[in-house]
Amino acid sequence: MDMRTEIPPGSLNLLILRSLARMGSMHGYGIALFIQQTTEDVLHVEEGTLYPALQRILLKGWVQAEWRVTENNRRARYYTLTPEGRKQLKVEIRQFELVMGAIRQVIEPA
Amino acid sequence: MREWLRKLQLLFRRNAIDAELREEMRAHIEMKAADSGDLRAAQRAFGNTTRHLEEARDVWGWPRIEAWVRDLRLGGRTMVRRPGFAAIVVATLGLGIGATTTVFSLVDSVLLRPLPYPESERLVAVFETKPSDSLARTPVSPGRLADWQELNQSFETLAGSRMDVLTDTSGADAARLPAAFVSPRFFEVLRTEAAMGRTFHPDEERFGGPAVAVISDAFWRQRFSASAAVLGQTLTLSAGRYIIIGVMPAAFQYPSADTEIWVADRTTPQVLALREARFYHAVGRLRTGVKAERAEADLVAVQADLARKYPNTDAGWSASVRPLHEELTGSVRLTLWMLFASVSFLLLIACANVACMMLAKLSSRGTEIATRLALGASRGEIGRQFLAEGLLFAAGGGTLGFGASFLAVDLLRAKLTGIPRVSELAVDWRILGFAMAVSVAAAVLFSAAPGLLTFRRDAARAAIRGSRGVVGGSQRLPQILVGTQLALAMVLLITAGLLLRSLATLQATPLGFAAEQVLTFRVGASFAESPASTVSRHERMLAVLANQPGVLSVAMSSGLPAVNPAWPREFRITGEAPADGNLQFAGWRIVSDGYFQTLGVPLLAGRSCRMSPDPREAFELLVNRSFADRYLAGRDPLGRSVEGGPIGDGTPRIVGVVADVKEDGAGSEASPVIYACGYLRFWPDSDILVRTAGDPVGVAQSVRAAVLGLEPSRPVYALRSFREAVRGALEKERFQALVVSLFSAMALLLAAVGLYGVVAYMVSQRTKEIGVRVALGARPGQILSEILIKGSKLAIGGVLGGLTLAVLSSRFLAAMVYGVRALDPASYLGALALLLAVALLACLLPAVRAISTDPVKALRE
Repeated sequence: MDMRTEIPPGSLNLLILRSLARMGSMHGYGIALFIQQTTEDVLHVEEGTLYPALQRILLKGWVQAEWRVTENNRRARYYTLTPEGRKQLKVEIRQFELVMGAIRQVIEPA
Repeated sequence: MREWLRKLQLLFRRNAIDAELREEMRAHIEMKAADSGDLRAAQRAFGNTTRHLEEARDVWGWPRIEAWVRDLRLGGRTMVRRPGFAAIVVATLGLGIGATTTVFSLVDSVLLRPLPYPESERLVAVFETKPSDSLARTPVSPGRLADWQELNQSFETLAGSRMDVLTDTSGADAARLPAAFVSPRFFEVLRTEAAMGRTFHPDEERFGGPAVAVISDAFWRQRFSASAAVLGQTLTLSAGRYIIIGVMPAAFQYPSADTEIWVADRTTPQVLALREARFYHAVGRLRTGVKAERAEADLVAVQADLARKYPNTDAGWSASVRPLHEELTGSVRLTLWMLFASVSFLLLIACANVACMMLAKLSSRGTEIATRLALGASRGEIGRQFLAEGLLFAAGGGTLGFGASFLAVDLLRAKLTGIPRVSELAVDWRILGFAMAVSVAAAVLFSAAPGLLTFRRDAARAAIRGSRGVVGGSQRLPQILVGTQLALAMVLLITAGLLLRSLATLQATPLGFAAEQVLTFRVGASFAESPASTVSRHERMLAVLANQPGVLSVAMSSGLPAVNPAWPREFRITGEAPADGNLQFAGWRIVSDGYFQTLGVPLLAGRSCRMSPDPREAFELLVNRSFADRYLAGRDPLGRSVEGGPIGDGTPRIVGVVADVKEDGAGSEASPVIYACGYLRFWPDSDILVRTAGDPVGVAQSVRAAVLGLEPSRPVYALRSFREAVRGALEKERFQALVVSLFSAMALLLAAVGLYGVVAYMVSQRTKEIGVRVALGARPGQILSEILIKGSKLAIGGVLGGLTLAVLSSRFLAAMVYGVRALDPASYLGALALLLAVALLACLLPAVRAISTDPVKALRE
């Protein structure tokens, strides 16, 4: 059975922010790779949803972007969390836990 | 909020952002490819870059607005690609919007908008009447007006005014100054304060008060260049020196639009006691909640009391009260509503036409729409595109119509001087909005709605099959629309025919005199002039003019025949009891002895009259044939004396009988007229008529110079050929005939285009079939007649509808036409023939094109 699955809606922002919080700055491909590897290939980030999400986050002011050169001498855009982004990450984690707790209550036998 | 601001900033860096995103994505794919070693797989996994780009772009863009902008651009391109179609739609919308806005603005300014005075619905015009004498609605005598003011229960205030002409001699040239002499409380009734300075104080309104004047906004601008220093300046007028104390607002145009100065009448006690001198046009302000009818009943009762108090002068007289607005605009009410009905028809036709064109265009785009639906476009997206196109057309049509109505309104304000309140005419924004909304609704509704209702998802299959008939298939809607257009156009054509025939009848009616080679003018003079001075002045002028080179004869008259009606008054022939005991009426005209010769009116019996400057000598009378036939049938009129004329004492005798003249205008039958022959001693500013040897306009300047040589301080005005004056009397008739003809021509054109469109579409749908039939040897004539029959059915349906409508509305039109019946066969047949001929042409063009198409080409299409 293929364990790869869609990222639950609404949690992509959380995953991106959390990845950046752990790794400092990363480019888009790096973020996608990081999520995939960290979840041991369970979660695959669709490229088609990654970039609109990054744009949205950028627009909200949660991350900053700058062009840098990768270790392989390639130009790429690196994203870094801003203080606002850190605050937002906390908010998103709290919300996620709230939802997870709620779902757990439903699915666990009483 | 900050997010929104950031978006705004980014609006100007769109291309840079696009480029960044593109590079970022390329880097992503390349890095992935470098990791896996398979570029193709990386690309495939990434998917459609453009699509991702668009989605990312939507994040910081304005997707909704951008979609609209895109659709508007697309609409613009569609318009540019078919400029002919776009031009016709925009022109049609512009025509409908412009014409409706103009006419409704006219109706609104004149009939609907309240008069420009505070609480103007409480203003009424007040008259004296003599119930025994159904004609009389006369001005009010100042003394009686003062009594009414004191004794009534219904009015807050009553006032009166009389128009006179003052001569302003303060400037280099003597100028004619139309002046209103007003009673006390005049401005209080109208509740209007001066725009600058003030109106009269009570002590300035009484006899013996100081001579002060209030001037009009127009006079202030023209004479004093709108200077603020005008207050306190002195005007030297024929009636004395007046100090200017105020300037009225431009909107204040009572009692007439040409009033340039208001002065207090300061009526003498003697005139106040003269209860039979009726010269005030009275205006009153009703108490709140009182209706005109109740106020009239009140005044009638008050006057009945006065009749007991003053039996000699007040018995038999009564009062009449009518809303001021109605009094001022009643004469054009019918005309304006008729024009409004006509223009509404035109707007309906224009809308139906646009709807038809939009439907036709929709069907020609069936394949495109079906393809887009099949490719996943939503109905909303397609609807939005049509809406965008409709809005573009509306914007074009609205701009055009708006500009046109602005020009038209300016033109009408300048030209239609005969229509009351026309100076207040302005484009009405509400109706402009309304006309635009209706037109847009027609454009959008008929372009988008039917399409969206009838398209189905499986329309794609139809598109693939190449069929054009994706739209509902039914042609019923366009046919109904075209039928309606034809019907409405038919009604307008018939109306135009009736009005034109009526006008032609009026113009062709023999007036009973020779208007050619007659020049007419007036010389400014005031009622304040003494009768003796007036007589000697008139005497000198007639003598000088008669000796001018090129002048055959000269006359004066109290009003121009066929332009100003004769005054109706009761009379009695001495020694004759009225036939049925009723009062007898005749029109009275005071004329100088040269009147009949100057106008070429033949003398039928007796002799022409002689006049004398001596006021003690009685007038000699001439009566017309109608008078002799009606009141003295079979008896000799000569030598009989007549009582009751407006000519003072003495017993005037009839000395001759002249032929009938249409004194009251071409539209009225010749009626009994009494000509009192003498000097117009009480009418200083009378009409002067000059018969010339050649073209009357040629001697106009020398006549003017002769009058000015005699009286340099008097203005000569209204100088024109008599023919022109007579033409001017039919201005309203000419205007309404012209406008309705114009509307009906436009309507006919639009309906013809509509019919052409439907038939052309019908033919285009059958191109293949016709091709096959022609290839198989069908005769062209047969196909032609088939198409013509289909088109004619449509035309005849519309014509029948139009005829029915026209007959139904004929009762309304009967009041507006002269000399033709409301069901005039010529007008009906003419409209019918014209409409059918145009309809035939509209059907013939596509039909001929169909049969001349090469069958091979038709089959391939």
